[in-house]
Amino acid sequence: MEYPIFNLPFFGGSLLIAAIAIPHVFIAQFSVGASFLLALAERRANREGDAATRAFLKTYAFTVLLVPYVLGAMTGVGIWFATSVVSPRAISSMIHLFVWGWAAEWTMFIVDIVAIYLYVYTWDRIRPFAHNAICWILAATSTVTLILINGILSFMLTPGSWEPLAPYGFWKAFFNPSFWPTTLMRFSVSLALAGAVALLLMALMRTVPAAVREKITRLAYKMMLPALACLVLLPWAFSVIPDRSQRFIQGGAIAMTLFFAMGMACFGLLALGTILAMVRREWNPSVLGASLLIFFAFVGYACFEFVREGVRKPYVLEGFMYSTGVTTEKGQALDKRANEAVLREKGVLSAEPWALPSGKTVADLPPQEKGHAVFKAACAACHQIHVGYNAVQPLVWGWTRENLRSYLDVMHEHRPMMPPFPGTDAEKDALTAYMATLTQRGKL
Amino acid sequence: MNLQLIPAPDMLGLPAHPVLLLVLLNATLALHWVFVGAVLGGTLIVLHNAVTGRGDATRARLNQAILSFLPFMLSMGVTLGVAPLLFVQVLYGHFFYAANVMMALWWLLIIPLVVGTTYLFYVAKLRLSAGRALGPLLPAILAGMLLVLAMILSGNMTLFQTPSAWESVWRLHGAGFFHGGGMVGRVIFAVFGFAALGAMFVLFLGKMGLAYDEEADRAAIEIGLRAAPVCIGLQLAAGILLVVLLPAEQRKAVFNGSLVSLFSVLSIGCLAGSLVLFVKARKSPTLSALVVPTAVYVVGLILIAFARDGIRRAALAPHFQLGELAIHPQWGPFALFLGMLVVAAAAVITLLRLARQTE
Repeated sequence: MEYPIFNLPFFGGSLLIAAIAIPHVFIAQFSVGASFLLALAERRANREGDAATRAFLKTYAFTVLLVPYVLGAMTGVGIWFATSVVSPRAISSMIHLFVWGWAAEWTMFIVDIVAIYLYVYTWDRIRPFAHNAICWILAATSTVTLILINGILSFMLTPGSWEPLAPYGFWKAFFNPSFWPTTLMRFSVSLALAGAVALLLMALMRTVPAAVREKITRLAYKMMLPALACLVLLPWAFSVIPDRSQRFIQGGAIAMTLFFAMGMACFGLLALGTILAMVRREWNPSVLGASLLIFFAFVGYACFEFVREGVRKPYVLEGFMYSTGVTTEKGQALDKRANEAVLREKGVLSAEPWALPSGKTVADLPPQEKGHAVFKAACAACHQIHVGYNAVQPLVWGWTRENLRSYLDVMHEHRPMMPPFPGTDAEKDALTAYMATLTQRGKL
Repeated sequence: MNLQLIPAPDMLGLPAHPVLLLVLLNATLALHWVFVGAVLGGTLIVLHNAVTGRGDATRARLNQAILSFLPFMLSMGVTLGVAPLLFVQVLYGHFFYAANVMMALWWLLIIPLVVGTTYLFYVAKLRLSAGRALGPLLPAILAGMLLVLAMILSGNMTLFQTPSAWESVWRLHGAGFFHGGGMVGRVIFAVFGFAALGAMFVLFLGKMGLAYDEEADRAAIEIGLRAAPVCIGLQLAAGILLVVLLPAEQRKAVFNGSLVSLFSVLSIGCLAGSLVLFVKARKSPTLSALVVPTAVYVVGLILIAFARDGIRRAALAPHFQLGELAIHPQWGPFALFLGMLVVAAAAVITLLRLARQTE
């Protein structure tokens, strides 16, 4: 709304953000846990004068911490670039609310970058105690970044008592109802990922001495054990989400139900696999076994993120802004241009002139073209037209004009993931005229 | 133009007085320029060495030393760029986002370009570490990628302060690359500045004995001292030409005796002073003889950032003034930021001290 609408053919904006966010989140989470693993293992190796373990940790630090960390840092900035294109109104409100939180996180990023490079490039060049201290600083600052970003992200689904411009808005938004369970969960997962990756690296490096193998494996298993807590933290996190979102998980949206169940199963399998390996004193994990544990940690975590994003629909900021960029009644006093009350009266195209063909006004357009413009303004944020992610044509094949028109009145009741139609009746008619051109099978 | 196309400012208003946000925006932007400038300039010097110093072992070792720092410098540059990215969104978000969408394909291309550049730096460094010749192709590709990045960012910044061009750029639905409004001049000005920063970076690498060995250190000092004043001189010339070619209402902002005029004049003075001091330093390149012109140059950069912002505000003045925005201060979160900034500074100092504790 209000901004030009960029359409990435076939994939759409949501998948674009996901493609950048998934590697970023995975690497960022992993690096938090990895810094703890390195700090703990190195401290012990220093105490015992264990050069072989230090040699393994040096490889771990360079190959699985530094090199991917750079990618994580770049894709982190990339998420901003992508969201500013896909959902400018939402990111604008987030930035205006949380700018100091993000700025505080930025200060920690700088320490992270300095620490990580110093840590990797001063191996065996400085006193072991000093080297280990660098890693502890890295562990501390990366944990702070995790806490800060989680306060911001969890707000999007559970704003709690936050009201726009109300006193202490930042703090209410930050310490929102799902802040603690999601923070603890992200931290547990980060430890588990670091442990599982250590196992895989060791399984791949066959020359690592048996004693080192046992030490690192024991530590890795201990770091993976907190994943067991996710079996409690995940339901806790989702118990505080809005009722509408809970219904999605409880069968209201089958994909959400399945992914939630799969996430729980993966965390359960991760914890079970770890406990079994500890009981069997399996200090020599296979590549397959370690890969499976990484798979469970990654998929479990990805399911959590997918469900968190999915059950927020139809909002991008729960209760405040729909995924179309239209604000709800919460924003009525502030948003004079693209609030739902304004749009019901003036029409969605009044707030989205970019949807009109260049140089044309609404009055110039025949119904179908006007309908196409309404589609761009009100639907294109989530839907492709013919093929691709959430394409509408396959969804309306065979529908009659009457079906289409009456559905626009009630779509948000039939499908709670859809926002109410944001425009006037005349715009509904125009959209119906346009959608009617998509109802014939084979006319792609 | 159709004024309806300009989005409304964000409904949540500013979280602090605009002057504070402007200071943070421009100070952090200058810091970001220092690092990304060193990366682009350093890469150009690597390319120069690879082309003119084929078979020269000293130049190869110098290239290896430069390349071992560039991934870190780029990571720092990108990370330092987060802060100005934040503050520009707070102050000018509705123009900035519109420009991002209008050249979306180019804007999104920044991500693979930055990631690709970082890993190609590692490839180049590993090649040299393995004793293989670098050749000019890889540095040329890297320099090309960095130049494309500079052009995209300059195009974006120029487009967002040129709403009159929006409709024509949007005809390409996200594929449009904006090169009007003095964008080419901005890129040339920036690239000369970045080359100067690269020269200073290499110069200090040599002066601090970080360029592999003594011979490489000497080569680094020689190249840096030769390149820095030349690049600053070219940047000055490009800057004056850029101001002359600015659209009339923006040029007026530079010459109307306002703060923008003052920043512009002082920045020219700093750059010129830095140039003269670097030329003088050629006779006796002591550490202090190099630190002073570098510091003067960095002050000049900060002033350029402020002057540039003033010119932007002049360009946007017919449509938008920062004074129109409602202010809803968030003092508690601001204190959090300040506190974390102090902690971060202390942590970085501690880290550097720890890294000096050799056995």
